[in-house]
Amino acid sequence: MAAAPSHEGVATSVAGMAEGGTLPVVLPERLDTAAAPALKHLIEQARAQAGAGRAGLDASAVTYIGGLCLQLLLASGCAVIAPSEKVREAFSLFGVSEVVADLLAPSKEQ
Amino acid sequence: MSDDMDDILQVFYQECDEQLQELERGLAVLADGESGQETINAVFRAVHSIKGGAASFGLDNLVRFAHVFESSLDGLRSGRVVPTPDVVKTFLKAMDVLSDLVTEAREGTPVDPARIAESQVELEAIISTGGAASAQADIIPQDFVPVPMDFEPVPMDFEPVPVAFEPVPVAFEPVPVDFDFGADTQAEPATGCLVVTFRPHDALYERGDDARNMLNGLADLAAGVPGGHMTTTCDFSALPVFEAVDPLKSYLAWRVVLPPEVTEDSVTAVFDWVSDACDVTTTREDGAQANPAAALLDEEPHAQAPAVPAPTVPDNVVQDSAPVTAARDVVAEHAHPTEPASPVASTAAPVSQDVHAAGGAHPHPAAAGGAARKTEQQASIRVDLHRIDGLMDLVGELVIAQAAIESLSRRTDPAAAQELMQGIGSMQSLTRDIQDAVMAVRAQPVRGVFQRMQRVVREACSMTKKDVVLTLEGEDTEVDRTLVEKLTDPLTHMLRNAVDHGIEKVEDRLAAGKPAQGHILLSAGHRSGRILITIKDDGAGINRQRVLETAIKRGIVAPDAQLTDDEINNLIFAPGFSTAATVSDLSGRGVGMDVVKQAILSLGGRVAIQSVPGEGTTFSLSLPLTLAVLDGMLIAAGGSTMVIPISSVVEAMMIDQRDVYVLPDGGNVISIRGSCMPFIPLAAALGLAQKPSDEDIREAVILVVENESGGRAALVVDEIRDQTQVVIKSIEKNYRQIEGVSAATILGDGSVSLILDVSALIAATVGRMDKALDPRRGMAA
Repeated sequence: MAAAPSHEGVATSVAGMAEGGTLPVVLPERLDTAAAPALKHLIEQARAQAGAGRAGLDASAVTYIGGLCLQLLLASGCAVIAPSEKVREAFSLFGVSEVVADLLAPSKEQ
Repeated sequence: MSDDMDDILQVFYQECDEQLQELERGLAVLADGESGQETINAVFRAVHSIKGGAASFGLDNLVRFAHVFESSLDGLRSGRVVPTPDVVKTFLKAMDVLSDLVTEAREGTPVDPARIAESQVELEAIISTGGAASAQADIIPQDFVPVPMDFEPVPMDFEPVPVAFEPVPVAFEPVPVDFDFGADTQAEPATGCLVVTFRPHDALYERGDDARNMLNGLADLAAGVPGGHMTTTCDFSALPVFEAVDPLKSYLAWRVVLPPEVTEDSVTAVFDWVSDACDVTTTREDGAQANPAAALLDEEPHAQAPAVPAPTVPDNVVQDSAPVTAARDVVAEHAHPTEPASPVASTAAPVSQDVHAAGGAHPHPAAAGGAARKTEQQASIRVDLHRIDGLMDLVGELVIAQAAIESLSRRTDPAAAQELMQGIGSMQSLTRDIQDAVMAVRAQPVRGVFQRMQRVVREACSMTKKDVVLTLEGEDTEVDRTLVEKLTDPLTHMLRNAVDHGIEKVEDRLAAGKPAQGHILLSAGHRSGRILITIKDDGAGINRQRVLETAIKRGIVAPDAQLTDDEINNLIFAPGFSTAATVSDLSGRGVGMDVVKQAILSLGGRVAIQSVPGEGTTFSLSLPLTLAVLDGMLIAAGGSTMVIPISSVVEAMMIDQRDVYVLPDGGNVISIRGSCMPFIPLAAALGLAQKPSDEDIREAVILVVENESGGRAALVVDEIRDQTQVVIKSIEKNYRQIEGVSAATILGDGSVSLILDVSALIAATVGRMDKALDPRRGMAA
């Protein structure tokens, strides 16, 4: 697959813990169309849990991200923690590697 | 051309039917817990063949679903997925959807999208459990691309033929324009990068597809070019704040820049299956638009909204928009500047439509929108070639026999008469053989109908929340085609009834010490020249008490009626009878079994019921092998010649007066080798003569006849004249129904003869005898 050149340099947000000290919510393995409604619910919970801080989503186990779940991740503004290789590839395929890095930049500094 | 296409399409549908049968058969084997690789391969092949064929005709809905189905089966094939009962159940459900999608394509009956989506989600769940198989799902468009291309040339092959006589052969220049994307573009590469923008609609995700698949397809195109890479930009300007995001709505759009070597057509192919669920535009970056029609779709320049393509109207663009006319002109002029003649224009039209397919038009007439259109279809059957060959051989022999008879008839010597008789004899046997051969051509195994019943039971189970297994036996039994078709409705109803009323609820079954899973056996077989179909369930049996109460309540029988078990069982066939407390979706309207009985009777069949409380009920349908010809015994009674079906005759004998006994009501029974049976003077029973005197009886012949449930009677006839094959002519259609007569025929001498309905005769006589014996009895027929 021809990846965007930006792919290599992308480190979305790699952190062990979300802002505010709350444990990150672990994302399911498969984030396809069917998983989108549940993902929204999950993110809502994570955001509620994080309160004023920034919610973290542990993407280490994720093997597939579809278009609808990508939208939710982008809109949530949550930190994507320890993204798996598959997740990085998906971000690159969707052309959002840089966007994700930008959107989630603050979490990098944690 | 469209006729040719319709023909090919019809063949495709026939193949679909066969593949679906194959699929059903394979899944049935898997459901039985046998998971041989050969079976799995057969199942996979069946779905794969349907997908491949459907792709050729641009039947999008079918292809899309078949692909997901196939991907999940691939998991099975590679061993990643284990065929557990749940998995097989999902496959069976998917098969039903697939079958409905075939019907949708053929007849235009739409399939509920929710059902498709539900099944698709289940299949995808299987794919995802298969792990590595998920990658399979990502390459949807790539998988099919070559197939439609194979078919593409077909219309074009026909197109040039009439034009070949045009004086100016140059008019054909434009044709290569459509096909030259392979060689020519490489010889003369397009200068700029190819920019593709696309915005998926919600529908794309609803049908289980994903923008990711398109991106993967485009990435593969870029990867196919040495050193080529793809630049993707995601446009999320339409994405609302998180709280406002509907997780099932599509907000994103993409702009993808592909290497210059990538052709518009290959991009078109990537979007071929989502053309109606996605706005796509394709342009050359430097403005050199190699593809005018594709450029037309790019109505808004990217400068304004780089990643948000303007909405296009894929299917109508060619027909409706003015710029397309311009496109045709461009192609036409390019083709032959000096002669914008009509042949050129007609050639150009499909070209522009083809090119435009990037935006979503289907190149194929049969493909309109991927949805289906209704086609008038001629009934047709597939016949083994050896059967046709056999028939042909027989016809050859008939011609020889006819010539022999002709030459014999010219001879005058005494030996000729003898030889002539022999010749006519062999001609008779040939005629019979030919008739058998023709019937064999028309014969079809009941498998098709039986396998459809699996689905009926599945659906009935899901509606009634019961778990029932349907076992099929004797699916290879061959029946005349007309019968096969007419069996579907009665069987459907009887099986629904068996699930709904026959099999108990799980808790009741467990309480009765039965396995939770109910069992229905549907079997077919030949029995004495008829087809016997049985439907046997292991349910609670007929609750005769309740049946009788209901029948009394409905006024079907008199409140004080004394009925035998058999008679009570038969009440369920009475018009307006229903014991269901509430009308369910499935059955319980009280018309079903009555209609079933009528349908079977109209086929010349009979229905018998056997029911053992707590053990189950068996329905036996006995049907004639064919509706056209039967072997009959010609008899004389009351001065008329009549036909009794040979299959009903057990034996023929002379009467011994000592064996005949008189009953109190004046009726007679005869004792034959120790067993007594009603003694029916045929002429009197049909109202052709008075009751015969003892004197008449002494000289008469009796035929012992039997009905389907084994009930016997002795028919008294004047004489037996012959045994012959008769052609059945409906008496109901030409006159009206007569009790005791099933049909009529025309004999060799041109006279009309009645074919007797033995079962009805027995029933009528036995009924009369019962009533005579017990005047209180009064059961509705």
